[in-house]
Amino acid sequence: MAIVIFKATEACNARCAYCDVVHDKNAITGKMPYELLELFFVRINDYLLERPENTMEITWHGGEPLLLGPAYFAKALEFQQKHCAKTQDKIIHHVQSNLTLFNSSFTPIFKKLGLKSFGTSYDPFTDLRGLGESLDANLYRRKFIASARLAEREGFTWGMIYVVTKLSLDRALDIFRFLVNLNPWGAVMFNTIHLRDDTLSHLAITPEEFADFLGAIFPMWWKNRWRLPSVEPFRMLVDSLVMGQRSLICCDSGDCHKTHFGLAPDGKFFQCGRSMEWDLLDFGSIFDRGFTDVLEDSRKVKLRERTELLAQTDCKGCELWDDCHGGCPLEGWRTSGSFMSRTRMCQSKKDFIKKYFEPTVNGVASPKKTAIDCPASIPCAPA
Amino acid sequence: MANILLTSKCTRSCPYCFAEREMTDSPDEVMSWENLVYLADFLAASGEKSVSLLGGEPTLHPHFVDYVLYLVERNFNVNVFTNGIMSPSRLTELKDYLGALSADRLRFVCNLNNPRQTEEPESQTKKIHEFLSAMGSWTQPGFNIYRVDFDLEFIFEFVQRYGMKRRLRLGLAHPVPGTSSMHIKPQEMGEVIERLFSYRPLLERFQLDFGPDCGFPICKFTDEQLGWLYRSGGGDLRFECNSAIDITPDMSVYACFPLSKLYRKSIFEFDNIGQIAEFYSGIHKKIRKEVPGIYPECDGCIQMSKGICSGGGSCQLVNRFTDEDIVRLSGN
Amino acid sequence: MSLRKLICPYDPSLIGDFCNREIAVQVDSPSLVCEAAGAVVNSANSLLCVILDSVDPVCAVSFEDQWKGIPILLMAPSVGEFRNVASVLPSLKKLNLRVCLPASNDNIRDVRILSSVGVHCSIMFEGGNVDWDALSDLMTYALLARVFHATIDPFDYISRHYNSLTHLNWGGAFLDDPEKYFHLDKEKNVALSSSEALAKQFIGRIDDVEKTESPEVQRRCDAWSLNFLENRVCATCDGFKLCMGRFLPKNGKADGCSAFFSEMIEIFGDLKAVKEKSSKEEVWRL
Repeated sequence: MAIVIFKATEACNARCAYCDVVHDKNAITGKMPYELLELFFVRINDYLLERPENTMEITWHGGEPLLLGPAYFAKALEFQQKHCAKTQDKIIHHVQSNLTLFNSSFTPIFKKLGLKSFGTSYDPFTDLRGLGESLDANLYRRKFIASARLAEREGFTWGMIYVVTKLSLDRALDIFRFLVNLNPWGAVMFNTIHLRDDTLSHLAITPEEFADFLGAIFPMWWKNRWRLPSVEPFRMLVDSLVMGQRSLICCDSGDCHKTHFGLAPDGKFFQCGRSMEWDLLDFGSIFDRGFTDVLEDSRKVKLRERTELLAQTDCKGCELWDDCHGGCPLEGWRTSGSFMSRTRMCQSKKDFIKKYFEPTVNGVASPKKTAIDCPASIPCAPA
Repeated sequence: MANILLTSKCTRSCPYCFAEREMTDSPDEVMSWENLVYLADFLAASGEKSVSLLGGEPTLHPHFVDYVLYLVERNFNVNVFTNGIMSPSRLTELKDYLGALSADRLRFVCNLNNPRQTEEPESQTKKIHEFLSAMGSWTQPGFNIYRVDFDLEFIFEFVQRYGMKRRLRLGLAHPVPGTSSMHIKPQEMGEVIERLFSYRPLLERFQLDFGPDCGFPICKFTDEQLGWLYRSGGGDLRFECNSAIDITPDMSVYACFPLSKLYRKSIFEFDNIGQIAEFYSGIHKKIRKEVPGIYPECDGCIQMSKGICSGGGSCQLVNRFTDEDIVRLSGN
Repeated sequence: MSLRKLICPYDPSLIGDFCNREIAVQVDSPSLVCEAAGAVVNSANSLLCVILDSVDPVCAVSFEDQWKGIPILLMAPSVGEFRNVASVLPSLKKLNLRVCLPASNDNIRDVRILSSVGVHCSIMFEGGNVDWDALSDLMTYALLARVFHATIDPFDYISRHYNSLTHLNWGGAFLDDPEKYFHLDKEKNVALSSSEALAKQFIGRIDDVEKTESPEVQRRCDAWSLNFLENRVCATCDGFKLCMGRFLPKNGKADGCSAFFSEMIEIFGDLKAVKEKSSKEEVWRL
């Protein structure tokens, strides 16, 4: 499976405090021209013809993708149908959006694109996410909730990413309850804040603090998982450490070099969305190369070697290697200036598992066929 | 069989009362509706078809009539152990609301004291007569033997006059361990049984059956007496100490009044009556391991080893212990 | 706008104005039960139930044999003494009837009694003075009693409709759910709950409300979102999915409601093995 983080625009109606895109003076706030959009689908078709066993997930990202408007998505569908006639059944669309701009006019085209759910983000208690230059958090919340309700009525579900910052640390359970009460059926993912530099150091958290944040929530989730939605990283760890079934996200898979791409509004390829935002690892223009060519880029090869290298050096013998693989190479770069380093965030995983995960599940940390009753990540919207 | 104690209050002062301690020590409690519903569920789930209502005096409970109707509606056969002494308004309620129930769904056992031998205020005696006038056909006479020169003759007159059920519930006044309550001592059993059988002609003439309650030892009956007992009791003859489970208003349980302070538990610790019975059966076995019966010859008795006779009631056995042993046995 | 079920006073001409609607018709006299049911059945509509508003306790209502088969919701202030209820039980139990009582301490007790003898009941509690301990006992009885008993709403309604991954507006157990029911007066004015209908707080005539898809209706359906917008204490309550903030006291401080609804969710966890729907259940349900 391949995933392309697709930014057809980097414009956004929100001004979230920790967003690298909106604070980037070089952000491309116009829309990707249709010429490029069309080429994008040509390249996708080529890739899927070369690799018939693969699928291609297009994650519409940004900025705020809904700023593109329904007509843009309709054009994308037109190009897809024109150039991917034989491969479009392997194309899957996702949208990562703040939802504040959602309205009914998007529904028909999203349904045609096969979209059933949104990925979004929300913060109930801080003013880190807001609309407009004034970072109006109250307006953000009003619009978000109204739009989310509308999306639900239109038949969509949504899953939540919550970015854990310094301001979150003393309200872990409240945050968790708030999110699952607001959206009982959508998955929740807790991510630590990722900062390119020290500009927002007052929001940064240590690996230990992230582990403790998760640990404040995990026992409650574990006890009540039958009635709570899927929560990451909990479900992933349960699948891996208890069920013996691994389904790792990009940061932990060690495979991102062969699965992930990023595409900027100007057609430039990057390793992924974060690399685009940090302006690292760009692989040149879509005009000049296709997906397969990018995969063969020497820097992609280097990332593969990173996985092999870490297994022999910094991560040698680590009991969590199969669940981590040294973490995100960009985090490694953030830690030491080199993509070949492991992430510092591996400590948070170790701390969490030792201090909270294992004691809570009674030491069942080895693969075992235990029935863990846990709802699917993002089930269909209720009727 | 379960005994539900509706209240700890009583209007009478029987000299032999073996529930006196329970009533004195307990606060003025009445069984609540919520607890009654719980008990009805509990007993139904246990497969019980009958329930007995006791006290103190159960008819003193403010919702007595409602409770009886409720239990009948829950398909229980209801037995009420009463002294028959109640206010005119309560008696009117009984007549108005319980009068339509058939005598096999509702039965009273009216505990009668000999007016010559047990002094009681005239007003109380009058009320008993009024009760029997109204509810006689639902009622069987009950009598507790607490003195060897007991007199049963008045019972026959009551049965005849009020059309009472012709089965006499005959009990022995039991000792309450650790107290000096009036009761029949083991050495008096023979005399009591002889006197009882002197009433045989009257019992037969008035066609009054009787079944001896717990505490009678089989060895004190002659074969002829046993034969007559067997015939008149319809073939149902037991000499076991098979104490019913008592449930108090605060939902405590124990087996038999005299032993109410021993191994008192909460009903919520059990899932059904069978578990409670099993628990107390174990307690009684423990008692009998220390003291097999009320007589020395109970130790090694064939009737005991066959399970035909228990060698007297457990209350009588515990009464032989010193205070220390009682503390030891009480489970505290 | 999806068509709501209608709750309206008994008026043959009013009923006749509707077509293909599901209607609950209100009467305040037992003598009108059959007539009202017939009026709906014989119109181009279907009968949801007859709501009999009684000022008398249950024991004083004269239950008629002709009511058999008519789904009836008897709204009564109290039950009365069991000695008097006992005499009407044989008639009552033959009927397709549910007794609905306001949640006083006596009624909470009496609902348990009635349910244990086979009468289906509802206990209505709203914000204000609620004895949460007594309700919690009743809830435990309704959901976990060891012996079969008649159902008690809203607990039975909640247990049948509860889905751990959605919110549940169980006002539907009392016909108080603006997503499902409109309360009408004789002039076809719409109120969104029975108490608002009583207080004559109408939002417009039904034709207008339905034609224009009144935003007031949507606003009411989404009213629970305010808990999140205003960061009310309910937003972080474990029991929110079942309560949706309707019991928040006026002082904004959660009292026994949180423990009550959280406990109910725990019980559902214990009852997660599917509750068999009794094939013998004949009483109509909302």
